[in-house]
Amino acid sequence: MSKSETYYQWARRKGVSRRDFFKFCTLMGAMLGLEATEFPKIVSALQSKPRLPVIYLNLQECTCCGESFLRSSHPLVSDLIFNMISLDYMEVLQAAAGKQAEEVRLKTMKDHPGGYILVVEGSVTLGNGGVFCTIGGVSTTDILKQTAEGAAAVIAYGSCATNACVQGAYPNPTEAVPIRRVIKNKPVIDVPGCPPIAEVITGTIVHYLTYGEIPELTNQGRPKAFYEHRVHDNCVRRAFFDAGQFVESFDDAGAKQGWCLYKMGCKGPTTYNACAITEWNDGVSYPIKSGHPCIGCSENNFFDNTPFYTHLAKIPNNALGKDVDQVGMDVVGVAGLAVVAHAGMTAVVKHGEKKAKEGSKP
Amino acid sequence: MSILRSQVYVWEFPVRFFHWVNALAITILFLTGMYIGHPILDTPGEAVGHFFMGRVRYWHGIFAFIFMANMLFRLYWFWAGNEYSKMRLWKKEFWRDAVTTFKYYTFMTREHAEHVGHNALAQLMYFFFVWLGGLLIMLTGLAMRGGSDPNGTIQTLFGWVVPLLRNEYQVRNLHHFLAWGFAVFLIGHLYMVFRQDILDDDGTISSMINGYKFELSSQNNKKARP
Repeated sequence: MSKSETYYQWARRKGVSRRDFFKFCTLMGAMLGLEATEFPKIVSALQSKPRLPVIYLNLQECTCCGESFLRSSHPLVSDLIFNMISLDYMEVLQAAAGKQAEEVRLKTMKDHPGGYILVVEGSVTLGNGGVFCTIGGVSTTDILKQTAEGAAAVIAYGSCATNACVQGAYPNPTEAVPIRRVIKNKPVIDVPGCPPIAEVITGTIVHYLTYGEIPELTNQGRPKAFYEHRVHDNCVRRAFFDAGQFVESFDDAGAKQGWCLYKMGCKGPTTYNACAITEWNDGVSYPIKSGHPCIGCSENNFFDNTPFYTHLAKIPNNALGKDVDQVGMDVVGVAGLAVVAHAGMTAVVKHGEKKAKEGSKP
Repeated sequence: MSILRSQVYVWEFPVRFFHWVNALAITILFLTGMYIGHPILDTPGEAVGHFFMGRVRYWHGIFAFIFMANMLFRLYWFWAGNEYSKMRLWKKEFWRDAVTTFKYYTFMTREHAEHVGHNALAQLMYFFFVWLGGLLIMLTGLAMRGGSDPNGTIQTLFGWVVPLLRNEYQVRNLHHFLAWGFAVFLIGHLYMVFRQDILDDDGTISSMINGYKFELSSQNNKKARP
């Protein structure tokens, strides 16, 4: 592969027809929520610009993001998505190992200073100097810092990288932190989810190529095109929510009817993700559609909002074994008792005063 | 034996109006909010014929905006209203009165300073439960509403609340928690109102409707009680 090969040249070499190439550009534009008039810009960018090298780091994680990435849906995309980015380093997939593999990473960093995209899967750990996760004897925190130095932009891919996910749940023994906490001087794009949607990576790269900047982000630092809507607001079961028809247990009549899973602990109403629109496995389904409540995996610290199958989580961190409404009712109960006690006390005191007054009369 | 009392016009109409609109709004918001959190009613049949939860959320929103407008109006009336409509937490007398009233309510002293308006402790409760709690419940509520329209005005203005509390789930939790604050407040509020009316016989309850309270003319008021 020559270094200056463009995406288009590369795609043609791989046997992709010009027609399919256009289809891909249009699909990308649609996915990014761009106007049709913007599509030619994507085409010209992909025809004129060389492929962006991508380094994919696997830090403190479970590789579910990588698995999702490999299974990215659209048949057209699945072919291109994975190949269109010049994936120079990814431990899970590369043939090289050990020293060779590290050399590839260092070479890409040296050859393209400020010109590669860094995708990070997994969190970094700060506890005990980061010893809880090391690769080749180097702590992941140091690897991340070193690799991010020359990156054009950093994509935090998956909930581990955006909010430390499971290992960051209370009490967080390894002091796992999102990469945003470590990388301060580079644009960081959060792509949360456990796992997240693979198309976001290609979308982000295409956007970067076309406009030379990272896509617009939401108030939580996520690409707006994918994360601006709640799962709830585009849910296939939303009509049942609005109608007030709820599943009460997983085997009741409502569940068979496909009613709303709100009372089964569905976190859709507080979760921002594209599951309900993009869906998974080639648009086959997503959890709620399949009958399971959303667990809110793309939300910060979702693992601390347990248990998953109740509408309200037990607070704080399940320590009291009560949810916020039960705590509230207890507080109201205490207030009620206090009022009764105070009223009784008042009656006693006032009665005493009256007695004393009568006694003092001549 | 008749007691000499003079009539004082304490609560101007806007204050009374605010009070009852607030009472209504909070009641409806609490009930609809609890239903949204715990939808206990079962709607039979096909979803197409129903919009019950949707309607409950709709009215929750309508009364939320009534509540907010009402609070904003009252904020203006702190400035425009009469002496009794003001809340001056920064005054020394306010905190002195808070101590005196606290002693009275905890039976440390038998008598309390006569208040035609609110005593300092009552005002503190309004400040914490209605104003501070109200402000936070508005912010959390608006933050959750804003999410439905990601490019809308509400989201632009209040989108910062969600990242501040780390995720929207915590925003909802806080919203619930604050709602219970209003329930606790109501219990204390009702008790204190009735207690005041019974012990001092000063027309506290009727003043909420007609605005007049009755000040004792005689200094030695306790002796004058029957």
